[in-house]
Amino acid sequence: MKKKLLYIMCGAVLGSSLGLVSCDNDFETPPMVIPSATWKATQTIGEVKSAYWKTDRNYVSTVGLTDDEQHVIVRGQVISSDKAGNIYQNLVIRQENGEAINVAVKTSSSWKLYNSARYGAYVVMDFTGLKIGAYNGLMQIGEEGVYNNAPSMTFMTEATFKAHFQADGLVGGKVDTLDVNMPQLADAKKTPEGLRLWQSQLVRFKEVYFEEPGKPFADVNGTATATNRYIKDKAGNKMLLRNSTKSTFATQPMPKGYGEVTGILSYFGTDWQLLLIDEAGCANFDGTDVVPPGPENALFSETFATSQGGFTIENVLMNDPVTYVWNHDATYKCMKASTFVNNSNHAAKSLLISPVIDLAKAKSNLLTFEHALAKFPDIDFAKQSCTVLAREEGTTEWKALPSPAYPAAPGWTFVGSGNVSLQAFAGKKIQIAFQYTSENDKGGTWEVKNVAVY
Amino acid sequence: MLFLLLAVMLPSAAQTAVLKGIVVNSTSGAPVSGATVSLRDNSLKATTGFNGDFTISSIRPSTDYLVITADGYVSSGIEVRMAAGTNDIGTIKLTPDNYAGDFYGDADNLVFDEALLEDEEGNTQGVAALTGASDDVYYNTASYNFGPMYFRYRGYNSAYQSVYMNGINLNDPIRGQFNFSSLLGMTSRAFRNKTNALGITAANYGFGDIGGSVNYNTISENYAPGFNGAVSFTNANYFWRGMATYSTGLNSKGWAFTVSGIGRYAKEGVVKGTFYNSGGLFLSLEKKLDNNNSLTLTAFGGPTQRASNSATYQEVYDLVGSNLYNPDWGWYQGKKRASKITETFDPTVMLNWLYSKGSTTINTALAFRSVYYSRSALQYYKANDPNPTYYRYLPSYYKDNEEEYQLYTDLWKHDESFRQINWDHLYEVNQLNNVYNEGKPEKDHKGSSYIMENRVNHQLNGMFNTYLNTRINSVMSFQGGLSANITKASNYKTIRDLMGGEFWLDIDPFSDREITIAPDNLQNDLDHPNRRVYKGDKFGYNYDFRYLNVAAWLQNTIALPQWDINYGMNISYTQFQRDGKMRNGRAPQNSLGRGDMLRFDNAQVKAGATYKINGRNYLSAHAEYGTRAPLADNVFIAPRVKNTTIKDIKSERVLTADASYQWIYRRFRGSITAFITETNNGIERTGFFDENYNTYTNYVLQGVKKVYKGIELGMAYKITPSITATFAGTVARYQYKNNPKGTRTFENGLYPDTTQTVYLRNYYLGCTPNLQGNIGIDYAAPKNWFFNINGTFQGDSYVTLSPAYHEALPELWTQFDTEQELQAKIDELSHQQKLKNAFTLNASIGKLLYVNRKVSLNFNLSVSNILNNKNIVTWAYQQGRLDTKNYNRDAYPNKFSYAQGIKVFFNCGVRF
Repeated sequence: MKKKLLYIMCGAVLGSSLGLVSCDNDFETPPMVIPSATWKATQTIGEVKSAYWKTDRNYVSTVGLTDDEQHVIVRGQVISSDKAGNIYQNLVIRQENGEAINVAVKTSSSWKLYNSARYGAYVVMDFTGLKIGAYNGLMQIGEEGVYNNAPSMTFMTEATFKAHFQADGLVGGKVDTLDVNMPQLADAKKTPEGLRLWQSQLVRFKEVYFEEPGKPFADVNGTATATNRYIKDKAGNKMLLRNSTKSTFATQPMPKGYGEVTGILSYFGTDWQLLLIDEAGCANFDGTDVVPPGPENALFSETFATSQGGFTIENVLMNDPVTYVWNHDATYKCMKASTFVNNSNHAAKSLLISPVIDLAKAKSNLLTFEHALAKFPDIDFAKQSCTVLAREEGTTEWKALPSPAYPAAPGWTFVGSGNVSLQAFAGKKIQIAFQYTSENDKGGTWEVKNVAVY
Repeated sequence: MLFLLLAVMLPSAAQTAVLKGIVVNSTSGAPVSGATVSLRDNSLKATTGFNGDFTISSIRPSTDYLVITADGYVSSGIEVRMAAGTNDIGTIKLTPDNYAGDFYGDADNLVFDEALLEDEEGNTQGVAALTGASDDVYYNTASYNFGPMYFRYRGYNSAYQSVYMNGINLNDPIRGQFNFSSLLGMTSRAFRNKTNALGITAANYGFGDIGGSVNYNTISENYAPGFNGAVSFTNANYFWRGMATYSTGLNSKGWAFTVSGIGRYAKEGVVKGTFYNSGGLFLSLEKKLDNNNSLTLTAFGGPTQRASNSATYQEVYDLVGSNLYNPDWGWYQGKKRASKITETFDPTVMLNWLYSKGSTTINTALAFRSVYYSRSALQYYKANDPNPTYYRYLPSYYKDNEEEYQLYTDLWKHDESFRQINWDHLYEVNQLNNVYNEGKPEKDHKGSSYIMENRVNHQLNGMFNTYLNTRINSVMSFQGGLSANITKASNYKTIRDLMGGEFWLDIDPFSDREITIAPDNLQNDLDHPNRRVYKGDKFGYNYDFRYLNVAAWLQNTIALPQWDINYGMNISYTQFQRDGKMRNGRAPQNSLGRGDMLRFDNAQVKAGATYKINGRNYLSAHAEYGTRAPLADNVFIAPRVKNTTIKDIKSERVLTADASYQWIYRRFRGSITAFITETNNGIERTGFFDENYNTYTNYVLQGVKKVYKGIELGMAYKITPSITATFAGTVARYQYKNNPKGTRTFENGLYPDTTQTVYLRNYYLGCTPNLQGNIGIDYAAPKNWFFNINGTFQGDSYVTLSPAYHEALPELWTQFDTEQELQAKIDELSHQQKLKNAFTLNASIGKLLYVNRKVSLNFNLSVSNILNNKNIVTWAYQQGRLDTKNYNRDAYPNKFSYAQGIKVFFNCGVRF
């Protein structure tokens, strides 16, 4: 009995000692609060845009209910950020693999959009009751306002925004950027579908350069709140960059050379403009001096404004009824190649050959020209038919040069060739040839002007 | 040393004699239980019981030699003459053999003076209440040598320890704990007679509490007759102390009288800019009415005025190069002037009627106390913060601007007028207001921009208590009592000094910003809007707590040859309410007048048993379960403003148990104890100024669960009869064990109260080491020399938590892209900083010198923290506010208080 009690009490002492060595002893930190939307999407952003689209540049409508009497709720990924301040009082959300829409919200010094609507995060918005319309051509969600004394869109209040907004998780992953080129966009704006698809998208232009590298993104000394800058592609197409003087990178120099520019594709009036999200929107710039096209800088140039100049023509293949392929066009101030005789094309191959050019004096080893390719059945056939070649002086073998830029589709509009590299012939004396080929019943017209070598 | 009282011969017809007596501790007067009492010639023996009492029967009437031995005491023997019948030899005093009483007695006061520490929010931080001679090695060592970090018995807040005086519980009914400063540093003299109960062991004067209890006995006849005086020097809060006690002992007419006085003084304490002035008087007058009845009147009290310092940032200590930097003083007209001055005056009067007959004593007491506590502070309105450590005056505020950073660093390091309060400037600002006032109509006058205010707590306590202690037979005894406490606790501010200005405008400076939204919010007293107040006027807030408590307890102790058993219960009724004296503009409907009366019925039961394996080995276990009423100080969510309490107030539930093994051999004794305590439904309140909302904020936690568990080990080994080595140590965990609900209230009334979960599970209770150990050697050398050297290790102590850092933050995610980043920030914000472990080495030397048979002198020199470790954090806490804009953890860094380095205490005493 005594012993039993002894054991029990020893056990009690031991037991309570062991109680100290408890496994469950980590600090319980407060749980992570991750936002989760309670609203479910009822429509896509594309559906909303189509439903309320008007061609008017300024208009205001009110978002109502869906056909089955539900709130118009969309879910999308945030593809903009007002953190750097270049995009200001605007939020862009994009349907997964779909359209994007701009949401105009009044922010303040103590409240910005980028915290609660984080770049890359998915969010849900209840559009019902909000205004939808266009402000000078850009479709958006917001509040009713005035543009040139007419009803238009403006910014909704913070409170309104918060009542119609739910974040849905942390940053959901990678943000896809759409690669685009300027001719494509020029076409897109011609149709409502094109405008709806491209307005407010996050896009990237490759192989473009700043027209004024080294200058700051925005002129902060001026009175304007934003500065217009331009990027250009190889074909010389321009895109407006609208840079805020209040952004964190406003005073930074614009990069040099060719690179990629990414931003939100906005719209103002009748044309596109690009809004950088931050400085990282300018990437992979190679730092080279991009020579601005212009005869005053050229080592060699021929405009073909009045004649074929020092160029010679070599018809490698030409049969009756064709008597010439290349010919000077005084009206359009260019050289023109065609085999269209008696209402049909004929097989031919003809070279328009430049005088000898000494690249030893060249700064850039670049060739530029402008051209138009019309009447070809399609642009791919045109590209095969119209090529640029070069050969070293004293040799006979022509070598193909890198492809110049071609227009998106056949037409009479001249486009820039972009910089065609002559690097392969650096330091040598060369001749350049524009080679035109055609087949029986298949061909087109190639017009070339403003040829220059730098 | 032997004290022989009297042997009483009683005429009797019986043929055998019975011998009765009580064995007590000569230093403390506490009963010594478990002592062996033996009659040499009769070969009879007995063991003293719970009250130190013993009875030996069947004695052959004769003269015999009575030998008393007890562990930890010097054995003693007396000659007794016994006649047939009952012979009562009265009280036998045993002297502790470790000299703890004499040796440590004077240091006692020092321990309690250190107990006056307070944190920034005005909560008193009590040290363990139960210092004093005890035969428990662990407890004795812990009480004296577990420092300088705060030792809390089993990690408990001092509200879990009961302090009685002649049976009356003197714990503060509003805040819970006993304020040791009200004993005025006289614990080694006027309050030297006391009885302890450790943990949940049974006491014979009251039910006690889970952290133990102490009963100070001031009945005059218990004081040794004669004079006792001492002068001490130390380099602490005060530098000089003098005290004197004179006791008459009981004279032939039945009168006994003890008078004691003390004075403590420092022109400037060890912390710059502090001072200390304290005087106290104690009086105990007894009249023995007859053999069974005596009346004792006890009165004590005295004013204390002292200046102290606040905890502050590590950045500041580093800049100044001293961990004892004090922001709360500055030069004024060529003199050092303090801003944080504490003034206390707690006069207490108590009348005891002691009835004693046979084995029964009844002690009935009536007491009245007035407890006044005031602390001053600088207040300002539409002016710069006068506190030199205001964050905008610190270099870290300018860390993004190197020039400013250097400038402020330089000012802090080299300009004393910058790093201390610039009083002259504050007066100048007020003076400019006076100049502005000249020639203007009275109503357009500007008052002071800076004032000094007193934050006052003033309690009036009326208390009644009676307790009975009776022995039915040699086995069974009963204790029980009844008590009542009625208290009015007033809380208000007064103008201490207008600092040269004309008046002070009684509005809330922090509601001023939002005046256009809620103009009434500005008013502290809506019935007297925009009142101008002057020196001595009450302002700001003014409310009373009205409190009533009645309690009864009953206990049975059973002493069997191999078992000691006790069990008992306590029941109580508590009620309190807030009684507002001002109609506050932030709560016009529920600030003036009495709020709802809150009522609580509570009970506790406890039981304990000791099994005596043999005379040298004991096993014991104790357990207690019960509920306790919440404290008035905790349940009101913003008591300075309104009557509102937290919702769903529950009494706290407390369950505790311990088990121990004790061994007592001639040379080696000690005990090992394991304990576990769980408290549920706890309520805690803190208050702080929140920069984010620009208002004073209260934060109440409710439903708090805590678990205290650990092992205590104490051992003493006699290497030689005069050299003893001791070890005491504890390994414990004092932790929060759930995620309670928190309610935040903004005093400016501009934001609604918020309630949320506070994630505290497994976090540590702040500022008490979870790991402590002390090893020491005592040498009682020949010729009354005493030496002691000991080393203390204290570790695993953590910063005190602030709830704001342990909430789920609904907006935190807006700062981060990934869960990893978010979790890392949560971990950073909710991190509980561990304080540096500390080791201190202490030594003392004492000498007792007999000038002649009557007069003795004693000298005592103690040096603590000999290694001069100046990096020991005594108190650290997370600030209440959180940077909810950027969630920068460093925006409001933790605050720290440090222990001083080497501390010397020299005492010189005389007795005759």
